[in-house]
Amino acid sequence: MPDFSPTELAVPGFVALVLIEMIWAWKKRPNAYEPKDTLTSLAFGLGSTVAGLISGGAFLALFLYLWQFRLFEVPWTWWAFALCFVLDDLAYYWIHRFGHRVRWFWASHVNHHSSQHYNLSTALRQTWTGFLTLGFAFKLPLVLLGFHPGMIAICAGFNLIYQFWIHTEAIRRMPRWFEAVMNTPSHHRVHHATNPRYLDRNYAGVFIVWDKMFGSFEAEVDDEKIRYGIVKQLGSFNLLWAVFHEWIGIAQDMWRAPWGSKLGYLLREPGWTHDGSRETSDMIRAQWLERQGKTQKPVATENPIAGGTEPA
Amino acid sequence: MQSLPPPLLQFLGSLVAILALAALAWWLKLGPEPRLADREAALRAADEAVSGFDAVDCAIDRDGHGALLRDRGGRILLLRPHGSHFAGRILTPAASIRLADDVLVIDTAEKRYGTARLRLENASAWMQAIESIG
Repeated sequence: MPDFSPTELAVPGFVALVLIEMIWAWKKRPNAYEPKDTLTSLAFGLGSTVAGLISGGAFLALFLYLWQFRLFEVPWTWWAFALCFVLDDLAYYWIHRFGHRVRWFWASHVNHHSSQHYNLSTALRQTWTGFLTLGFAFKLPLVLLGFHPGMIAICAGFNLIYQFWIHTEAIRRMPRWFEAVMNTPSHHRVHHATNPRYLDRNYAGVFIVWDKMFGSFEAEVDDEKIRYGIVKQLGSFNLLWAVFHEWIGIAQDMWRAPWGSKLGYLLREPGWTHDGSRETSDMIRAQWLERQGKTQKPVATENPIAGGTEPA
Repeated sequence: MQSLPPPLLQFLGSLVAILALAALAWWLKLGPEPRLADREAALRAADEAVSGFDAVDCAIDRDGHGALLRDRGGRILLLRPHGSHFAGRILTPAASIRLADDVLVIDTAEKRYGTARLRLENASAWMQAIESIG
């Protein structure tokens, strides 16, 4: 197994591109960056590398153990890498979709969304608590098919590197053919938006075709200003609060909830409550559509993960 | 430095780069504090904070550093700057308010969101409205 980490090698490039985008912001869009927000996002990135070092080894060991039971012998060839990259991206799509539709997963992934800015430093705003979710389980089919865990790790690294450059407002649109197939700054701005029309859309990592295939694609509308972040903005730059707030929220909600509803606060979509006192993204979108006087099929009807829009 | 293990060296290098980038953002004066220029801006920011918040009453801080808005249902929304954007909260019965000179000090009772200090035209009426929440 090669000892090769593409993300580690990419770090100087990340720093250089953040620097270039900052200069662009200074010239054209001073509010695209904010020092405290930047510091928080980058501290998230640094902390996530430490968390990754601690938990990554354990996951690799688990994958190597399970790889013994593989169905096929997949060689270390270029075509195997290409296939692994595509399948890993498909697994990423579903991990990411669960990350938004199941509060247990969201508690970890919310870290990436809690900035009200959308710039290259936001890309580095990575979770510290991913190991507390079951995201790794989505990669198990690849291991059991016979892809070596090292190959999967390398593909996942390149996937993460690809996703870095799309976190920018400096690029409006890529060529049409590229927008049709690949995830782009435009598609991913939609994903980070809290505008009701954009909530829980565009989960893609590298290939936007998964969203088109599974009914979660939404195109960016040019004349609507995007606001970024989360539905209830943090209002704080406290790093530890930013890291753990949703986990604390889940614990508090489960503690206070009646017995029959406790698990709902872990397994249902973010915003779900047993008494309807908060709003899910589906509810926010439905109310917005009502105000617009439009009718549209809510995303939950296309979503087999957490379909209900009404509180149980 | 040669005796440091590579992961620690990498961590320290990244930390230096992070601090340098944040310092550069500060030095370039990126992220100016937001201002609410008029009622339109306050209504827009309110809708961004709470989708569909339909304000019937609005008071903007004299310097534009925040606002209080009330909707038809009597909900009161506080907007205060957070970095170069606004962050809003619907005030609950746990919120407290006091008048210090001509500044309204509003505590949302949410520790990390903290307090907001607003200079409003009709401060005593808003104070009364907030005190009667619940």
